[in-house]
Amino acid sequence: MPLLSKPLLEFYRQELRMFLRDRRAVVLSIVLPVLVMPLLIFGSHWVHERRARELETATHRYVVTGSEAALVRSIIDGAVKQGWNTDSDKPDEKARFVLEEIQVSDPSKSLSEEKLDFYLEAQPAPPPQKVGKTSADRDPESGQKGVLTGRGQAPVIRVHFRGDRDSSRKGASRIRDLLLKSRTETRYALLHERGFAFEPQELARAESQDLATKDQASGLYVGRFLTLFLILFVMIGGSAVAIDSIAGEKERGTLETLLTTSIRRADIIGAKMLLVLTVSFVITGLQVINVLIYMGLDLIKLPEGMTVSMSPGRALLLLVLYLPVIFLASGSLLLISGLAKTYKEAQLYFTPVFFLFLLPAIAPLFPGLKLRSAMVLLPVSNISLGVKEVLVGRADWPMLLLAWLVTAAAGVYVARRVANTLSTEKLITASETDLADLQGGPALFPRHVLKWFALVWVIMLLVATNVESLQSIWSQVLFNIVFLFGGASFFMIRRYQLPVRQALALRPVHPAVWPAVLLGAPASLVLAHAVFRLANLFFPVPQKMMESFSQMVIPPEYALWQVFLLVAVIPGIGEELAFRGVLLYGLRKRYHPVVLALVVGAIFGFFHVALFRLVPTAFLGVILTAVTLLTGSIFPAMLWHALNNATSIVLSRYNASPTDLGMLQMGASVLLLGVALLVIWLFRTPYPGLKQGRRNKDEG
Amino acid sequence: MSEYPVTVENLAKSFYDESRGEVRAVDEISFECRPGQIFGLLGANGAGKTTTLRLLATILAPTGGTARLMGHDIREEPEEVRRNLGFYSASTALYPRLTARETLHFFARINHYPDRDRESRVSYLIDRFGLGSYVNARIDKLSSGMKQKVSIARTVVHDPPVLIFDEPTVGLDVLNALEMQQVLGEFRTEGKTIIFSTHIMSEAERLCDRIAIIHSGKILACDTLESLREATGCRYLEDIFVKYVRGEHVRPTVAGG
Repeated sequence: MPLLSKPLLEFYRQELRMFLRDRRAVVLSIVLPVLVMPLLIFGSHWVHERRARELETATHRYVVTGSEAALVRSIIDGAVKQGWNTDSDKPDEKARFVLEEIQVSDPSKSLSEEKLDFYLEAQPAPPPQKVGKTSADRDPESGQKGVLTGRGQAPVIRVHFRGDRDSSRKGASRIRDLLLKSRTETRYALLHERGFAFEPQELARAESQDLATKDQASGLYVGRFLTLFLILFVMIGGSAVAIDSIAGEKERGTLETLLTTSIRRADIIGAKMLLVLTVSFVITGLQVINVLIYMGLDLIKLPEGMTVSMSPGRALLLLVLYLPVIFLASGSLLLISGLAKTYKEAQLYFTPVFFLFLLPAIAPLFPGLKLRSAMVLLPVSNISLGVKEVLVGRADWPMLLLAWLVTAAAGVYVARRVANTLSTEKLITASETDLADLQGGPALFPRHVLKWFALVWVIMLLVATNVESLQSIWSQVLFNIVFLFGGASFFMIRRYQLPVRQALALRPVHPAVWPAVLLGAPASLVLAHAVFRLANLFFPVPQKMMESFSQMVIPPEYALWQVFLLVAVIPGIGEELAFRGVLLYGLRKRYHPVVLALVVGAIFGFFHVALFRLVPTAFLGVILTAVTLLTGSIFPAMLWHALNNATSIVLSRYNASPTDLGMLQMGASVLLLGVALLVIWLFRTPYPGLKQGRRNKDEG
Repeated sequence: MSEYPVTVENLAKSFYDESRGEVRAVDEISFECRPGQIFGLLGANGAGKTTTLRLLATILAPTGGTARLMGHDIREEPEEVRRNLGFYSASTALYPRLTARETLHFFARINHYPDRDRESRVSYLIDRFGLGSYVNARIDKLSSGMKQKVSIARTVVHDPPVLIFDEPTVGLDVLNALEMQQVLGEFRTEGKTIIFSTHIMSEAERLCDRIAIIHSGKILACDTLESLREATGCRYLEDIFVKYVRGEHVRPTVAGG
């Protein structure tokens, strides 16, 4: 079946025609944004210009009070004569502000009544012992206290202003700059008098040079916001047509008509997706053209030194990178539409989903966040980071590919969910479900188990990154393993009334399995490191990170028994109960045993959040799952897991790392692991109730 | 049995309802329909008529048994089933922003009606249902009677051998209802296989060649009106219906005739 079948295209054509005939939708989703955007730009531009002009040419009225007022007046007069009444950030400009002193009886009151912008209060120097440090450099915007000098016999000049008025704030800042400049020049004049030869600015020259090209600097600027704007356009533009697309059809009863024709469900979704994409693309394109036009008319000023240059190759790359994002966003809009029963309900869902998409798109705004991190696994965020890196000229190709695949997979998942909303009968009859729902309890568990584990994962991640007190290894182990994994397992067993012995695979094994585990566990540890080294070729891990990691896991101040308990025994029992117990039980009928071992292993890997730990722990997870499947029991996996961790503790205590082992030791480990698994296979008592009966499981 | 255009075998559909628990909307029913006949599903509201017809139209998936339309299994080949089927119900609406002509062309296309015959087929239907004067007006500008005609034309635009009419006269005034009955009669003469559901006894009496009395998801009787009269000793369909629903019927009927 071709991807774009004839009925699909026919339906798409019809949908497009109907959309164009819906004047309200066209106005809301295309015309309005196109008009609003320039209005916004023009408006903000106008306001900005006007405000800047007003402030630059302003005349500041002020008052001088205090016993040293005469001194202040002479300083200001002198400065104005020198022509220092310009803005310090634009010394070349001719525009000079005017300072006009006036006379009022109550300066504070007049300041409140906006009759003056600021007033200066000049007092004689305070007694020297009270003044510890000068606060002259304090920002006048932070408060009313601006003190020029505080030491020796010099008087104190206080600038009083109101931070809630633009002209007052600006005036205070200007007079402060003027006074400071005057002070600097006076100081220099004094030095000069005493025979100091340098120009003051030559005293300590500091120059900086930006090594980034103009393109790269502009790339950073653009890259931070590009994804955000794209999402904004796609979501807002696509929403009008997407929401109407399924929810509206449901409400009007046309969906039922459509479902009785011979068009396939997939074609319906495909056509609707295409329509949302079309509208999104048109809107995004129009906005880009809009911005370009207004940049051409000089209504939008680019920041200093910014260039907009885009080679066709780079433009194509950006388009390819953004395809899955747009696909995912359109799909999500359609999903809302498909899940809602009415147009109104769909509109209700739109806002949260909208923010859900904006949130990951702001990832490039966070300083230091790189694509080569766990972020690569987060759809949308990963592309937004990748685009920024491409634009500053530091594309990380393997990570970009991974990011693209992750976001595309999310898009495909959402698209399939949308197709499901059409084939589900909830469309027509509200309360239909299948047999598993009928039976409830254990029958429902296989379908829910992954959702629960995802929830546990999210909780673990949130707590690990946000709760400071969990940094210690004790609290970490207690929280993650005992509370989260143990609690979740207990909860799932209770909630779905699972048979405890089967769910946790509490079964006896053949005695020959135990020596095999003793043999296999250290061997698998060595091989996990080999796998890690292999993975390191693709995802290099900085040495520093490795060191801090090993310190984190095994803090030297703990006694050996404590470390064994925390890092070997408790995880061996707790993690196994959750992963090889409840999770494996829930998934056992879903996948072929080989796939099952890979899936459970991968999930186990994902729970060891740091990206570089993923591969070796997933490797261990696959072996542990295989052992459980072969023995039908959780106990060998528990021992294996504990032994694995214990061996790694012992090694690190003696500063040895299996990573340093040579080919010979690796070969021996492969052999040992092979023998161990062979023994376990020979004396196997397979896990009951698997998908295709009992199948041999190898190294995984 | 597969020589019939429609054969239904032990078809079942259960829902789960939070308050009522398991609901067997359709409970292992079997029947078959013949070409050139109108098969009537007669039942009260909630008896399972609409669910049965939606199962046949593959909008819903059965939880047990199966059915075949023109030799295509509803589980295995849903698209083929729908291609051979025209489905009409009071809730199957038309796209308001298309014109009548566009509607007919659109549904002919997505139902894989051959392109070369499409134009003449659409013109024929426009003539036949008297749509000529408003064929280029948007559907949302039409009166309900006109919409009904376009809707019927839409149902048969791809010339399917099997037609399902799910309570087509619900909400229609007397004249429109009569017109609908007349159209159904015409389709029968053309040799179509028609499944027609209703809760109105007189309609069933007048139209149906064979009648299935459905109650609580089960078919209580399935036969010609004559045979049903014979089996129950009642003259009017209303009495026959009540007798079956109350479990008072005399002897079991066998699907036949």
